[in-house]
Amino acid sequence: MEPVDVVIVGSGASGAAAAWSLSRDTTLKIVCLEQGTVSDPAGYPSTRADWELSYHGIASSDPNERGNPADYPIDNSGSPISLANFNGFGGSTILYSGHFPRFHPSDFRTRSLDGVGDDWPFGYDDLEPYFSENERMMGVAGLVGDTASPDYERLSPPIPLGPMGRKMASAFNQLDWHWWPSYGAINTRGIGERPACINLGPCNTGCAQGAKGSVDETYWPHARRQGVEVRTECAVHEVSLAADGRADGVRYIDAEGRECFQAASVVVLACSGAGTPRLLLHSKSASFPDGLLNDHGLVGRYLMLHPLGYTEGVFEDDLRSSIGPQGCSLFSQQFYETDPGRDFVRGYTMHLLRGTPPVETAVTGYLTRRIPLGAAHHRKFAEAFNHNVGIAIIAEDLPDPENRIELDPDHCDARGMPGIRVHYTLAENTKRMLKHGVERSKQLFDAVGARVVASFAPVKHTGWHIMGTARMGTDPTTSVVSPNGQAHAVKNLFIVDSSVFVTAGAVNPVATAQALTLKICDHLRSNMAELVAA
Amino acid sequence: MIEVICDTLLPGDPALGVPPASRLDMDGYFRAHGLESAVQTFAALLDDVAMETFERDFASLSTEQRLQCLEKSKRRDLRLANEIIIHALKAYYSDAIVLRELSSAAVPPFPEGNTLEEDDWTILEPVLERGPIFRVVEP
Repeated sequence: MEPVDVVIVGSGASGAAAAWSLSRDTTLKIVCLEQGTVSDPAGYPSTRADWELSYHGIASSDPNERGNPADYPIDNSGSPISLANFNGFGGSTILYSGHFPRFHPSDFRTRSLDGVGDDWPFGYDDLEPYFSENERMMGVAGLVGDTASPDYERLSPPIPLGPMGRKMASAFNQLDWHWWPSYGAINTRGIGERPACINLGPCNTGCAQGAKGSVDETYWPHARRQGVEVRTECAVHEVSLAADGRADGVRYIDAEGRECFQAASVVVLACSGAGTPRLLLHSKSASFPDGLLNDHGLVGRYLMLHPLGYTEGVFEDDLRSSIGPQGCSLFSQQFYETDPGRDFVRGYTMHLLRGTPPVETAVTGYLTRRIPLGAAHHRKFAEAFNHNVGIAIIAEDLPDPENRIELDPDHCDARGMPGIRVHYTLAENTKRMLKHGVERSKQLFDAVGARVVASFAPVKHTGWHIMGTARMGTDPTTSVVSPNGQAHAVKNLFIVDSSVFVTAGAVNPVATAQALTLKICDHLRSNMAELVAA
Repeated sequence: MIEVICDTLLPGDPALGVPPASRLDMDGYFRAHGLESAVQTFAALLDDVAMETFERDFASLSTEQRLQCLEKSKRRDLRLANEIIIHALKAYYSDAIVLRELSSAAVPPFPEGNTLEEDDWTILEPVLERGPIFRVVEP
């Protein structure tokens, strides 16, 4: 393989943003290695009537169930929450719901403000221009003027609330609680060659319409036009070190099963909060016998998720609740910031979910004995379908070194590389937060006369937001990378994904992860000449 | 027998416009998911329960009696009964014929879609009146 200036490992949310940002310098030779394949939108489940069946097949969020050759096993037996991901060109954005809020200013200062977690080495204001740039690239819908967040520069028209959203908005108004239409990386009008959303609903099986801002539709076409080469089905298993201690490239197995080496002046890791520590821990050498950058035992630790609570209400009226983008309608941050009057610090987002689709309504109704079999079945089903609404409580998770990911040599992927094992315990603060959120969501349903039919926390299969496993900071003994994403111990190795998060906030992390990627890559581009020449 | 079982579970409702399960290709679904053998075992179990309870085979029972047998079959083999029942629900509610009857929603494939009307954002007035609620953090 010809040496390149930059090799990016991973083509998901952060890998794509990095590829676009770095390739604005068109003199750079950049290669991105992706272990999965390219998805064909024409084959997405949402093009078929039986799309819901794919939730336990090709569109499952659980790699153990999905059975895709690109996946690696994840042992979740040591965690009440199972990790979720998607390995393929575009990463987890292929299956995400596109909910796209930013972290709040307080999320970057939790130690100073509330005495918990740690402060980030920079603040919201430093990221603000990158948030805006990223939203422009991803195509984000919403409404400016949100009272729970600093203002946005520009957004596409908001995603329609639908009758369900308007009903729930009236509940928030009755209680004098904040709510706002969702920020969604979903086109509400055509942008460039990408069409507008047609409200089919199943965003999280892949958007065949191309309206959802998955990075194969947003960043990648631009990055490829700027000259980035993407090699799919190339599974990186080691970041290689030269004798001088610098990274000299990566070793990977290609689609034909051949062992390959890609030499590079700079290595950029963007494999997610699970894949990045996995690769680092697997990259052992004489200098790093416990895994690359793990000289202080930090790699894989401080794992943060967003523990989720769920409450479901059923209304008398048909609210057409299953229609529209599943994960984007409205949200509330009434309980986002710390309130000394509560029995927990930090807070949560209440995120409205549209009604469950037909199969899920029927199966859940059967298992919970709310929808019988036989003659009464159809009437009871009709009383639930399009009448139900879910509220997800997205709780902030505080960093704890005992919550961690480690290699699992007992379970390997198709190429023989170990999978991962998750050790995770819900903190007491989080449990109190979830309890508070579930109680408040019941209060909302009560306010508008809905019957609460389910409420529980934590929800098991919701570990999409994987953060903190290679945290950033200024002190090399307590962090893995610098504020610029540069590894403390290997100067030409950068990490640009949510692994570097210091705290978790209480919102979906993609907007913040990509803004951070753009910030890191700005620095990297400015210093590239020095790094390439060294 | 598969049609009898499926119609016992999902007999349809003319008032709601939804068909009985036997109108759909349930057999094709079970074949496509490699469940023929499990369905046969379940059918035999239902016959056993029917003979034991009513001294007649399952197919010759009234709807009410069949539903009783279904409930009793769960006590004999919950895993098998749930597997077949849940698959029957999945087959029924992922069939385009049923989906079209359920609501006014479009059914894939494209290019059909659903329309959601534009919102009147004056409903945000109470939120705006209360002013900013996020914490201001000094840089």
